[in-house]
Amino acid sequence: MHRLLQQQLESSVGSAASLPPAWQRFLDTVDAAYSHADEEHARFERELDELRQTERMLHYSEEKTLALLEEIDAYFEADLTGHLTYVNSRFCEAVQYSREEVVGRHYRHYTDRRFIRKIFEAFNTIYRTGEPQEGVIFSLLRRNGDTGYTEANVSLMRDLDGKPIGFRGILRDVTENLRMEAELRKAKDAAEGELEIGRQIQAGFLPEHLPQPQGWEINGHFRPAREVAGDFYDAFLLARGSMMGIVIADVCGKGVGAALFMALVRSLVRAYANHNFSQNTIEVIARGQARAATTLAHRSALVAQGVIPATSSVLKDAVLRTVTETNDYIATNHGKANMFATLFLGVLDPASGLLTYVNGGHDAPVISGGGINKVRLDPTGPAVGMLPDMEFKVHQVYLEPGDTLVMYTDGVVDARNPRGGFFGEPHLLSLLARPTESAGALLQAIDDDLRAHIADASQFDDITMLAIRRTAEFEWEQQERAKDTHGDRLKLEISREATLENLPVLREFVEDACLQAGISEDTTFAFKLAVDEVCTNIVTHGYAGLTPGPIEVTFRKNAQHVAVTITDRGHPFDPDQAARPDLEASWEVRQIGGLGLYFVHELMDNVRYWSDSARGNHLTMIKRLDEPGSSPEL
Amino acid sequence: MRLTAEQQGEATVVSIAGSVDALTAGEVMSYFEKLVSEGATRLVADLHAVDYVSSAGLRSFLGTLKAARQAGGDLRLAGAQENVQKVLAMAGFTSILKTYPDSEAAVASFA
Repeated sequence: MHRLLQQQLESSVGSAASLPPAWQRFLDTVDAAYSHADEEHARFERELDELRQTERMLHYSEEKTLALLEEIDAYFEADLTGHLTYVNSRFCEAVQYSREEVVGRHYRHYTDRRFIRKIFEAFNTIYRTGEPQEGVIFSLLRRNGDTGYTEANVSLMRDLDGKPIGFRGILRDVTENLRMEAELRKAKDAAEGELEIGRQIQAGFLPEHLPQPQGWEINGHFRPAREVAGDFYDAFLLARGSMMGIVIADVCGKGVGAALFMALVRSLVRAYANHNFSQNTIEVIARGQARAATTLAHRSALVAQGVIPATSSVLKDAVLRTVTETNDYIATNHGKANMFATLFLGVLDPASGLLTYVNGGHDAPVISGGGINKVRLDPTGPAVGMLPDMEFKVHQVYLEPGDTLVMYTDGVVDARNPRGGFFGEPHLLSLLARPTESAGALLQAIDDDLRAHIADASQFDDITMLAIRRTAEFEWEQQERAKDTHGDRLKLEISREATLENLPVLREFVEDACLQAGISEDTTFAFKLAVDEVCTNIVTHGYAGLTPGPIEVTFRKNAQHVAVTITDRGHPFDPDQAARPDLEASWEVRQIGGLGLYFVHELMDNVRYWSDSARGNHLTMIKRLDEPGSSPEL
Repeated sequence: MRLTAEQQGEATVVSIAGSVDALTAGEVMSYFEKLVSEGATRLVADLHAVDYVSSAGLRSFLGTLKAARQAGGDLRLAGAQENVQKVLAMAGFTSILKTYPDSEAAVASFA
């Protein structure tokens, strides 16, 4: 504009060059001012443009957001009190109310009573933590009275300063999903119902109470698979309570069929056993028991030599017949079902510990005692019920004081961990070999291990165990430890450094103790030699390579027994594991090793060894006083 | 435990007194070994004064027996007390070496 002014000035006053200097300066100033204003204006225009642009973008963004909110699932915003401040049209469709009707009302009008509290708690948590909540499920009430279900992801809304101002949530309709889940559950419940029937049949046929003859402990353990597998155990008195039948079995198949078959097998065994141990048998057994009582100590030797006492043929016959009759009944009358069972039947004479048994194809039960697995009762015939007239054999074994017989089904060894690894027989055997306080404690320990092994994997098969323990004379010895010496009990102790020089001292201690206790010369000699042999091993092997520590010898006596416990802190060693010397070997090849421990076992009625890192190694040996026949022939 | 040796006719009689256990077995063994190495292979162990023998003691007898027999001689036991006899029997030693009621009988057996 100043150029226009200049032109006008020039036309009126002539050429610019002819202008007086004062005018010229004035024009320059005006010119500079205009030039500045131009720049200002341009900047203003630019800023205005930017603003417009921003405004357009904001508008576009808002539209886009709103459009998005309409496109996605139902959406709501609510203030901190739970009053809805915005809902999209999907929300309106879901509840069948218009936006005008919904906005400003409290959420509780659109859900049922059960969920008001739940939503409140979700809001509360979000407000407190600032964290969004996902998967909040609640009902949506429709105008027409229907109920839909929705799953919401809810988060906190904040203003520009970060202050919470309300909640927003995106809802997903899950009405259909929930309906399908409910139907699935119903179908599953029906299947479970059948399983439950099978399970109840099975549980109903397990004995509620196990007989507990004096001097014996019996414990059963049963954990059913999800799908019933038809295992069972049983223990029942026979022959007017003078004998006890024990059974463990695994019936083939799964489900209700297996449970019914299990009930059949269990009833057949009981019925035939009762019949075969009838009056006639009782009398023979009673006579035999009376005779056997005086020769108790010789029984093991007699069985070992194949000289079986007269009663045992009656027992063997009755047990064998029970199994063959059960087998033939099933095979003949239920042959079409092709059902069979692995079955172990034992009949125990609690007075002597004689177990007469047939093992029909079942996992071999284990007799353990004194910290080792002594013997396994391998199958003596095929599984029961496959074909009539199958041949079974009957065997006998003695359970000594402190022995435990553990029967189990394959569900124990075949239990898998989450990576598919088996629990395994070696592991089970290692658990069985451990010294135990009671049959119940042993089964509990195995089950604890099983649970840890299976963890969150599926249990495919029933887990069934039955343990029978002949309570040990050791229990008396253990109880004595807590008591003082009084009455007919006697307790003497000595502790010496484990050196060869102290062996005579320890022998003399035992000799003096026996003298004080009024024990026979034979028994005194037996203890003197046994203690010397054990202590010699402790000195030469137990503390080999170590500074000699203590040997403690504790002597205990009551009316029936003498027990000597020897404790050391050397290397653990199990005398039961030592190889037996070959006493028949000629002098050229005769080895001397193991002879000392052989003596210990020969001289004592019972020897037990156990070891733990905290309390050292313990060896307890016991000799009975009241049975003249119990001393081994020397 | 004391050891004394005496030549009686064909045999060398070793009288042992006291206990033959893990503490003394080594001494008994080396005593006999020395005799065998000196040519005394017909040996009688007179045990009448032995009040106690453990498996370690038996080890020394077995070792001596092997050494003597390999040298063409023998070890024979004499006069074992009841408890010692029990231990010998329990270990099956009575079937691999000869025992006599007294040293005279044992010495005579070598004749």
